[in-house]
Amino acid sequence: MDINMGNGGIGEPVVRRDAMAKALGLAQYAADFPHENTAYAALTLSKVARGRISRLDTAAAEAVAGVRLVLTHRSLNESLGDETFVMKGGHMQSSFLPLSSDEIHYAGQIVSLTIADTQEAAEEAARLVAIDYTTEPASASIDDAGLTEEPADSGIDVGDAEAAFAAAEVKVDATYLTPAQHHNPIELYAAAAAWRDGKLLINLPSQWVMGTRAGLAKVFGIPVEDVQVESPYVGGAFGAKASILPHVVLVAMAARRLGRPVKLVVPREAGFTVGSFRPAARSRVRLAATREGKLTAVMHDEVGQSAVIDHVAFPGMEATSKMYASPNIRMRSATVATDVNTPGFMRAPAEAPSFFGFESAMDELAVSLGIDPVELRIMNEPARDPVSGLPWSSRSLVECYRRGAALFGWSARNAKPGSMVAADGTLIGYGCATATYPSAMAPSSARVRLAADGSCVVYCAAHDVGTGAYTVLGQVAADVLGVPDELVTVEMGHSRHPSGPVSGGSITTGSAGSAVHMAARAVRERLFATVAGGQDRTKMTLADRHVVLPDGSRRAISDIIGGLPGGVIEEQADWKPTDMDDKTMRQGLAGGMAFAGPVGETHVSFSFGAQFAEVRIDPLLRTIRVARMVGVFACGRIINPRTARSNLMGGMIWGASSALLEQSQVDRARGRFANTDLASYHFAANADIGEVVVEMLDEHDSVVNAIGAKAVGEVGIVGVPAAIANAVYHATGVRVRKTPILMEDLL
Amino acid sequence: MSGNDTMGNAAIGPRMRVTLTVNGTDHDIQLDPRTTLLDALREHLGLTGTKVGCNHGTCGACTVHVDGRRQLSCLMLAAAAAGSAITTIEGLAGADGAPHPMQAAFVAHDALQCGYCTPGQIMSAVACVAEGHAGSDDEIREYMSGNLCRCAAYPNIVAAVREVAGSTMAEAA
Repeated sequence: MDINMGNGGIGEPVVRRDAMAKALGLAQYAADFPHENTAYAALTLSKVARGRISRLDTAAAEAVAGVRLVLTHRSLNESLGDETFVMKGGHMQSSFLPLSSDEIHYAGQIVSLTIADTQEAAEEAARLVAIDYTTEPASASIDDAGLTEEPADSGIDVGDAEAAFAAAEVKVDATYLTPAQHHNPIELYAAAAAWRDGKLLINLPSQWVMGTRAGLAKVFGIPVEDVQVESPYVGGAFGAKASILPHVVLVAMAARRLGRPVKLVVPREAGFTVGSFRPAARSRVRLAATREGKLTAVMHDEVGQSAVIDHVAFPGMEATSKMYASPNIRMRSATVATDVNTPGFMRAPAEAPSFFGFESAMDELAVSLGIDPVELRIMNEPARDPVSGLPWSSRSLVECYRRGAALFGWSARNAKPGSMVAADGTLIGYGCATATYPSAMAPSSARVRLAADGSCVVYCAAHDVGTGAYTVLGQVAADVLGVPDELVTVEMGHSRHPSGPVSGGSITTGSAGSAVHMAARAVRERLFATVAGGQDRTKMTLADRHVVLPDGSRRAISDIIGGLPGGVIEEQADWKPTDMDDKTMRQGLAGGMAFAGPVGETHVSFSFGAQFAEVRIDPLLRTIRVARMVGVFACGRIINPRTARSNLMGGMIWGASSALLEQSQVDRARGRFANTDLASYHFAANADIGEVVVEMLDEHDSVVNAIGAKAVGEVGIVGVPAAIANAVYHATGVRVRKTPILMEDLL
Repeated sequence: MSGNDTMGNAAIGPRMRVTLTVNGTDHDIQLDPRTTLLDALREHLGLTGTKVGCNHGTCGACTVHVDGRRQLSCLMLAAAAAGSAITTIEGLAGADGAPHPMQAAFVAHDALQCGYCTPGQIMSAVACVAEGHAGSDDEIREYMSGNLCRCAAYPNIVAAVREVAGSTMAEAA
């Protein structure tokens, strides 16, 4: 067991600060907080995909013993503030709030919320809400006839890609399909709302407590100070828990109306339509190269599923356009509006689907050229961003490939498809693919308190959604202040703390970590100033709970701070990315969306990884197993290699799950998701996963932010689906251009 | 807080009396006969370490032990658990309050991320070893596959179970 070594500062594999509370069952998630006299809520969902409610009868539901309220579009009957959709600058998951009218926009839309004294009574009554609908035809699939593609943006153009493609010696032109997928965190969506003296306290699993507070204040027309959002632990999020889902508003409304706390745990099947999902996408990739393997044209046209009620697009071309050196690049993105709940962010929302196609196409090009796929990528490594011409803040992709190939044993690969066969006849395939993810950042505040006993507390309204942020942010403070890890505590996940950013886009460590770093340095400066007495503060250091002065003498922190009024030094810092203006920073700190990067004024910042997979395929049944995976990543400075490794490993398993198992199947006749439970929406279980090797390169990035940390959370998933598809091709000679790759695709 | 019901419905639903023996303590409670063991633990006894993940028996987050066997508490009515010895994650620690070796192994191997499936994983893991189903990594993977982990800490979970199983076998030898 490699339990904590060293002082617990940056780079140490500190044990997850919250691990024991979680292992003991003591960590409190949203539905675990007790509220006296809680009433329980249950949902009724629309059975049709499009139309209107023609008849609504709640009498039977209201007659159930213990029922207190049946909230429908008729009884809602109150106006709400004009809070908007998260992608229009607001905080709502959708611009459409269920119960705001009799309109049905998608199957599984909330049509009533029933509240009772017990969970059992609420569920019984919710089933008795009688509704008839007038229906209209609906499309929940981008493959339905009669749908039109709308351009999502103006695209990216470098050189003349069409002409270069037409003139090329070797080319690939293929289309790849990825299905809708749902996040399915094990913690269900939930909300518990309690009002006291006109103030709202809400427990919900949140990746964005500051945004949720700002949004709910606007919805209910009350000052932001009168809303508190509590979310100390989040049972998995993956992008699903960043914006305000409709049930949260309805639960808070019901609690206000009843004058007692109301709690709703959204059932698994309802989560498929109460929350968001990863939209289906179609990628056409065209690559052209010289016979020697130099890319001459890179083209990527992506069509993504959007919703009639909200236009959303997650084009991956910002990333795919930057992967390889090519004088000619052409990228286009379009969307198709469908009658579904609004799609949203899901782990690497833009990158994961687009890289399946893009990195599969690179493999197809390698096959056409007869060049090793690792070498093809290395020979097209761009010295600068091929779109903006700016330098990288750091880019170690080639080193990732070299190290990954060695770890994986890539040199043992016989390039001929179907040529590697185990003694029992099992077909063996090796595949590789590139992963990348932008290192964006958002403004953040943080407060650090150092007490005379050497204990240190970090406060920040950021979140640990399982990523290790509780541990990592404490390490940043410990590193600056020379405090041993056991004396550090970190308080997060509550809107009363100094503003933290949305925990999305892999920004927490770089953003909140930079704010903690700034606040801790301010604490250290005050410590030094207190003892300076004319000595040079820049030559002072902190070690072992002492200030070491330039003359070599030592002063105990306990003596310095003990003599101060209050017995603590406490400093708050407001940090912003270098390129961001003050107005944008203030918007961000007030709970608005405010991002900088990955393309800055002077540099472009992405994390990179090289991913390898070995598949084993039964020669007759064509069952596919992922025997092992290797991922080598360059994500700048790794604050905690233990938590970062787990995060990247989990991402890679998501990739394998996406490649072979995950799809939200659409019942096209009824315009709805068909497999809305975990018995039929499959994702990886323990037995699906073999060996997973993760390494992180020691990469120094002095540009990206003060602590040199790039994005870790999402890059892990990005290349794996293509690496597996490429391995499947290598094992069988069958190129599958869609996920999930199923045994019937190989027959 | 005063009730401000919009409905004149003051009656409460059906009730029954059940005695549940949880972590060695008897609890005499009144509940709706439809109450699951999961909801009884969480909503009536305040033992929220047992988690709800699907209510369908598909995810394993609600795993507890009933008379020493793993049980999905969402699929058992509380009334059916009366008279049985129920152990939850809160009852695993030793009499001295020290964490169970499996809890310590999950921490040491970083066998959790968000932590939500963790109580169910640990209850299953303890049973997996006791059942004699932790003889190899493949066997551990198979017998731990009723507990889904969306963060996908699976390789670390296998390492934690392997360590505890190894020391258990060493003790038995």
